Amino acid sequence: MNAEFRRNIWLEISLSRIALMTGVLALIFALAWLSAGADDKAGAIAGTGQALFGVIVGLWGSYKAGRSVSDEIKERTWDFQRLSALSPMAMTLGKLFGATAYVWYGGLLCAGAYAFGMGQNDTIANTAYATMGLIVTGVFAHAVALFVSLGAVRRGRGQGRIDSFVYTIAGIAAFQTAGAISGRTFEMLRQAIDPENSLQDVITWWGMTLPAQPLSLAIVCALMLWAVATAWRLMRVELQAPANPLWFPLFVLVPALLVAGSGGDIFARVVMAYVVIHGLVLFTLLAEPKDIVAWRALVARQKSGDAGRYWPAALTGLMVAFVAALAIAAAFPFAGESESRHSALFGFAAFAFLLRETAIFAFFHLGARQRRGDFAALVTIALLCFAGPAILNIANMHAGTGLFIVDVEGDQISHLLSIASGLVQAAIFGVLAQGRWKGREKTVEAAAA
Amino acid sequence: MSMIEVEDVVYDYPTKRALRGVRFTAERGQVLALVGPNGAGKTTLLRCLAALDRPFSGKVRIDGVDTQDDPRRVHEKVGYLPDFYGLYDELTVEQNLIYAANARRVTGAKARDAVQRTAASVGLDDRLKSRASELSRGLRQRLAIGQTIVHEPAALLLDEPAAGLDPEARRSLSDLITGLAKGGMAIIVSSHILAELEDYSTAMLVMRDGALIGDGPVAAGGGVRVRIVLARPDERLANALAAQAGIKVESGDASSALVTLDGGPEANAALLRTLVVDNFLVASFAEERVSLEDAYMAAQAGGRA
Repeated sequence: MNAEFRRNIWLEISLSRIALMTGVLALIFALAWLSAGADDKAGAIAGTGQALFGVIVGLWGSYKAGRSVSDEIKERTWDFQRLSALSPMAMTLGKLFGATAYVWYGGLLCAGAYAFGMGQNDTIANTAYATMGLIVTGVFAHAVALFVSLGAVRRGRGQGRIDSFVYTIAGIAAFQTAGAISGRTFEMLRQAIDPENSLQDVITWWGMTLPAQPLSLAIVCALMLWAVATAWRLMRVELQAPANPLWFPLFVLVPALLVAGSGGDIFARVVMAYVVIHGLVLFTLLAEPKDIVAWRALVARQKSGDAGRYWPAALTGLMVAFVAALAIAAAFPFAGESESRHSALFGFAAFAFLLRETAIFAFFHLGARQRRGDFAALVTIALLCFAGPAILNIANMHAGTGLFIVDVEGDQISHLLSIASGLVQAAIFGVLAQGRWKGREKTVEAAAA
Repeated sequence: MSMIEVEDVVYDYPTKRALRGVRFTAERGQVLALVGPNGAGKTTLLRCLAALDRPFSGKVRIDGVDTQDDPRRVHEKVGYLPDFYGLYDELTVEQNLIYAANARRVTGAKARDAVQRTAASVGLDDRLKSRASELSRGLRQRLAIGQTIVHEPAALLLDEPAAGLDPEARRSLSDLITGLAKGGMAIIVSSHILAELEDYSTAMLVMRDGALIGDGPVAAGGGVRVRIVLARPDERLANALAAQAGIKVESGDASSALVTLDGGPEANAALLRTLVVDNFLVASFAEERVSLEDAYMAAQAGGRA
């Protein structure tokens, strides 16, 4: 048995805890059964099971999964785990399913009750799809909470209450997102009963018309595997296992392709993919260490030709985003009629601002108080993205908003303005960051001497 | 091939260079005392040796494996006890040790044997069913050491292992370290308490400001000196001692001298006979053990010079 999983089982599972969970859930389901009308008892059990699953697995489970690494740091056992011979996958799965073992005991009881209630009024296939969707959604939420917490740990944070709150919120957001996708399976219930709507039991995805239930479940499964793979990748970094530079493109492309499938035409799909990639690169910028030591080590390794394994994911992400911007330009001729008023330069405009955000993060992290770098960078970006356009709008200079943000509905001129402005701002912050870099270099060299 | 090889290791924190070109080797069976003031870089060095932190430049090899090329293999070869360690308080001693063994790829019957052997070696074989939270501080320390050695690592790195231990437990720890070194382990022990290192250290690494004083391991004391005291001052004493082969005068004046001799008791007897024959009025001729603290202070003084 996976040693980490077994250790968690020792900690999480005991007869008294099992009895407590079983007793409390039995009491709640009994109350739901008794309080429901005679013809709605099965529905009440299903609804109660679903709601309790959300609370136990979605909320509590995300908290537990998010804390599974940060608690080790807090209790000073993380170094011991990092020194173990457990593989990164064994450690990831051991934490993902071990730290949430008790949660899953309660969650599976709730899922069972949900399936029982639903099965009274529906087919076995529908019940199975819905229950599977619920369970996979739970695993997805926990994996997201785990990888967000691993990202925080990598930056030397992750043990505070605010951090725990962030992991839990990330898990709940993932739970809700996947729930909304697999929720199509619940929608199917009504449609199956109503033959007039039976034709809507399909989804057009990447131009293919596919049955909605299996597709939505498959998408949630793909998201779950993506989140587990991301947690595993970050665990590899923590355990000092060699990194593969090809991993990051996969990290951004998988969700981008999943989301892009729902676009109406090729242009819309590429734009949707770009937006996802842009967001994930920003997340990575936030998650990765950006201090002077990390940058100096990278430069030193670049000089010795050994930078590949240490190349920051965000920089790889910038390359992927640029390729996606090129793809937008290439796909523009295939844009639908409703989108033809837009411009082929949308991707480059967004990419210019992504360069600006990167330079802002670099600038603030090279400052003397680099621990507050993320906060200062986020405030600056927020000011540029919200305050700048707001002032211009108040001054009735709507066309000028492109100086600060990409106008999604904008034309070629607006996007050209954004490209020029984004590049100038990126250059300004880049030059400022370079000045700070030189200053910090001198400080470090003076200390070394 | 040395068990631990460290070549010009440099480690930077954002505001400070913690290690500056550290270089030394440690052999099988050697116990190195890692000493130095707070902030000297001892813990950072141990973390680099354990492949927990990556140096900015330089090389560390454990049993021939480079910590940067293959840190996971290094993890299998080292045992590292941090100065502030944690235990799984709700698990029993046996569960803690089983987990430690399993996590180091010691499984099945081998794990059970390793747990029994380790528990006996750290004196916890009668506490296997106790929860870690029920143990005293000294016993918790023993359990932490047990977790560190349960997989029989090739190199053992201990950061302040005796902190909080009572004299009896310190003696047990000393015996344990000596035994492990005899078994072929290379051991580095960092501590502020020099007296505790006295019994088992074979050499000493003295650190200050991120660098090693003396460019590598220096003698960890343990030698013998002779203090000579005359009943009446005699100006000839310094010259008489200087004329003797195999004698190093560490300090002295007309009425006393502190000397180190090569050659053991016979050399001592020969020196005493010479002094008496030369009509020095020897009031006292006594052996003194060179303590680790003496060696440390001498190294620190040398490093400052």
